[in-house]
Amino acid sequence: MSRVCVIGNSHISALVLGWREIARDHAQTTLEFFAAPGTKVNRFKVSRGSLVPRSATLRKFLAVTSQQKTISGDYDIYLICGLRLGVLHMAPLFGRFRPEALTPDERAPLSNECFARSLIGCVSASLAVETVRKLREITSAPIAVIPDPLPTKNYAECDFLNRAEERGEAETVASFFEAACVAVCAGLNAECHFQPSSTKSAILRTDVTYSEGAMRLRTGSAVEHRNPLSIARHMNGTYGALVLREILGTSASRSNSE
Amino acid sequence: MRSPYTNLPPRAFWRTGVTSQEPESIAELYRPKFPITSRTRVATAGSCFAQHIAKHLRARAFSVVDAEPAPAGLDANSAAQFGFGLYSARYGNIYTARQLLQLFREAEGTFRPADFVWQKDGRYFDAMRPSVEPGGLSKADFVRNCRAYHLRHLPAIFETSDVFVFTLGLTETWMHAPSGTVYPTAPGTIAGCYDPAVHQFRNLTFQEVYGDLVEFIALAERQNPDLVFLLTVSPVPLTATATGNHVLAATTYSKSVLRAVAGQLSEERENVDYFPSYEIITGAQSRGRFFSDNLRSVTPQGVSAVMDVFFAAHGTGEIPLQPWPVDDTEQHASSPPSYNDEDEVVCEEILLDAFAG
Repeated sequence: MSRVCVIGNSHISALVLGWREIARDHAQTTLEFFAAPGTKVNRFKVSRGSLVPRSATLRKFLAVTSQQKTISGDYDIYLICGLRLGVLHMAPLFGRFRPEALTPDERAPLSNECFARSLIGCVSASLAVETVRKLREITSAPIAVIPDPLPTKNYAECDFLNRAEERGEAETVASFFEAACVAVCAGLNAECHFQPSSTKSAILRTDVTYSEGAMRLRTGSAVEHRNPLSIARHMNGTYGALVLREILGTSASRSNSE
Repeated sequence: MRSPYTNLPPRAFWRTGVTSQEPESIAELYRPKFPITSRTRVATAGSCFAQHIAKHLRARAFSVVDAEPAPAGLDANSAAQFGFGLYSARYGNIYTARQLLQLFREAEGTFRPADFVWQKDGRYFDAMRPSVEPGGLSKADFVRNCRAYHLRHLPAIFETSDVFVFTLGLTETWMHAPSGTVYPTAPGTIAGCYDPAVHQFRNLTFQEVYGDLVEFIALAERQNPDLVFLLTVSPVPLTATATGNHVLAATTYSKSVLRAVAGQLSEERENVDYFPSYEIITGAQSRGRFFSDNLRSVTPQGVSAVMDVFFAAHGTGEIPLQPWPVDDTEQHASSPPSYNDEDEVVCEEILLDAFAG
């Protein structure tokens, strides 16, 4: 029997719904979900081998989503979902600076090395990575980090993303981001799991079918997103199932080989 | 019997002004012409010693102008390594008055440096500020691109500053003889290739340094007539000299010229002041204690002594050290180097040591 702890923000809904679809195929696995809005998750503190909520709101979210008061360090696997680690969250850097590999424009030019270091700093500062750091104080179990899903084509609000696509530079943006995530996670003995390529319609886009019927958290229960921009950034259960299948498959094969 | 020295204040006499004073806090050594408060917008430039000034001003929550803030996410050490937060823009160390003038004339569009893209091991460097991308760049065009971006942001320094602090470092420089372009480093040290037919050594004279600073001040005043200037002389000796003289004598000459020019301008102009960091570190009262074992680097205690005099004179000595703000917003606030590693400055001149054999 394998106990999996899933910690996340609004993006966790896809995994919750996805797990309902595939749980029967993983009879030896149980998933426990700990969810709260991103702004609340940074209110965990490490205490006596557990992550303990420091705010009443976070306590409330925890109680509703997991029926637990704390997150203990005795799970077999931890999954970190979303928590402000995603290419869109890198806008403060990509929006104002550009590495050598991108076409000249008004953004400040930087060497690839300087840009990559800055990106590593941004990834390191994400709530997802902060949470991994806290987890590493209480467990040596495998930790998988699942960044925010890429937005669908219906999300046109991100200038640097639009520009990268128009100029055929999406792959460069993606590889900078992925390299930073991999480097930061490796430094914490965690693994970064990017979304399955089958879920993408383009290098930096999730296929729009995976956002249909996307749900969001509302004090623990899942309700449908209403805002179109929010829909374009959140995914449904089918997406969640694909993500979980891939991660649990990887973890299972690793366990078997060990 | 009357003497012109009768009734002079204690600061006028060596015994009372120096011998009996604590080297860290010599009374009235610096009597500012104009106030600098935490609300004064300060721009800084100069040789590597000048990095301490910006660092300490920021640490005490002074308003240091930064026309090219560091990218979000770049840690403080990396930021310094890539030339962010050291000065008011990413121009790296400006050792000579000629280099300073040249830079701002270039930004103004009245000067074009010759041969400013240097190569080393297949990488390309901006010869005018080789330290800001220590690993170089992959294409010469990208160097030009970066330089153009940098130059576009320089005029903002004058427009947004109240005080321009410049630390004079050297008189010795290497010049592209056909064009007169001076470089901060000798060709062939960080990058580039020394060609005796093109590259010429110059030891700038008093008249040249003076003339360059006068022209620079005029240029800055055209953009901001209210700007005032604070000159300092770096107490850091030359790493090496190309004059043929002994490096100790060459250092004395160089610093004497710079000190004399700073004094002259301060005497002549109401909007130019001199801050005696050079005297605090090198004066007899310090007994050499502010130099580290290599007799060249200034110790953190020395830097503190300099800055304590500065802050005390401006009535801001009691302001506690401030932590750097965390750059986690969408604003690309600069993340300058920590004041805890105050002895670490980015100084390419030290590379000349490698040639000492």
